[in-house]
Amino acid sequence: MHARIEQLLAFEDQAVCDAVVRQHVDGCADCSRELTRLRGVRNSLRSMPQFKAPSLDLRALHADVIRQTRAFSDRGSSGRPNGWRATAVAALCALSIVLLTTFTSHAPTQSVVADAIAPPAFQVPAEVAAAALKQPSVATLVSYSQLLDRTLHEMPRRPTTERAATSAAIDSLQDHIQWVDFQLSVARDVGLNPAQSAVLWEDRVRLMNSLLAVRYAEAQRFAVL
Amino acid sequence: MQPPSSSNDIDPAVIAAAQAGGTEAFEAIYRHYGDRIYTLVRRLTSRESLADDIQQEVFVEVLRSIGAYSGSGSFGGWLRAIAINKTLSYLRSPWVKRTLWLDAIVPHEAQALLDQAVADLSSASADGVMTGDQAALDAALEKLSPNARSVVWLHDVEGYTHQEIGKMLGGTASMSKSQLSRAHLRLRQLLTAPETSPCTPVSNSY
Repeated sequence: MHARIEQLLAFEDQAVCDAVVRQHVDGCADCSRELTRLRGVRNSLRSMPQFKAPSLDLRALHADVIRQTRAFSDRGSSGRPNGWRATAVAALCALSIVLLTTFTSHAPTQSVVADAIAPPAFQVPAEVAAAALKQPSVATLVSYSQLLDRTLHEMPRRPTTERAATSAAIDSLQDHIQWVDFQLSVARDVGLNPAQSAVLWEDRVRLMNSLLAVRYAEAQRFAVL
Repeated sequence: MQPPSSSNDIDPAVIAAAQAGGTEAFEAIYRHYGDRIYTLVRRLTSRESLADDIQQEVFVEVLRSIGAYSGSGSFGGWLRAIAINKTLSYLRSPWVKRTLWLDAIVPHEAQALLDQAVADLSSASADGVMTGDQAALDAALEKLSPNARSVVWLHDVEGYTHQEIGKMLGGTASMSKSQLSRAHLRLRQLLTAPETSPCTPVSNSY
């Protein structure tokens, strides 16, 4: 009976090791060979050459960090000049979520960010929510999509320093929106019917909503730094 | 060639200068630790573009919070902890889990060529020449799951205990141990030629 790999690893780590295992390994050629092999793997790992780090513009990054820190302290003293804009975006995000609940008849495509990074709950006026709960027409979807475009355009510029995960999410959403836009642009040529167009517009609204939610979460994060 | 876990720390005066806001001190810190931190991040992620992004995030975090470094422990250890936290939280993010990498969908025939190209690039971009064994090990490491690769690297190279790794990964020491065992089994499969007969795992009865 040979020793299991976890026993050999524990043996190699000089962890508490069963005396019987120790005795077996000492006397077993197979296990000794396996222990030597494990030792060799670890030595190879430890002596692997280093990678060369990419060059970073630390001066620019440092200046950016200082600017953000100052912006935060200025905002603290002057009473949040962008408060109304942030509230408007938050309310729009909340409205988007209400709207999206009406789109359950179609399978979602890529709307995963809204679930992962849900903005905080905000009060939506009852009449707005009631209007949103009605089944939207293509015209409503188009105008809503345009509203989301405008809101996105109004958002502050993205920070110079980005989080890798946030950038990946934003890139992915923008790619998908471009793909939907392309499909919509050729809808007439390929003969899409109104129902198919509506599905595409719903997708666009959903993706735009997700993009707005991510951008909002990113802006909030930088606002508190 | 210096192993990644080497712990020679930078002059405390440089750290103090960086805490006072000196950009040159930050540049000195980057020159001193940049490669080591990048190697750690690159080994955990196994993808160059991700590692580049995370490297920047790590050093932005250092720029932001260097004032919080009290000097009680090693500065290199503090930096490593930031790098590991950033990398693991990135690997845990739903975006990474849902990402379908190009090399995961190429046909089987193309995979061998791609593996070779990746191995060549890895060897070429490392600051030194790998031996044949190391190149094979490098390629095998890339085939492990991110969690398994992280456990192997953090335990076998960086020297963290199972307890520490379990905590970093949001689990337990025994989870880390079992991940390490499975990872080494997988590495053995990937590295051992089919004609050799490895020590067969059997039940724990003597």
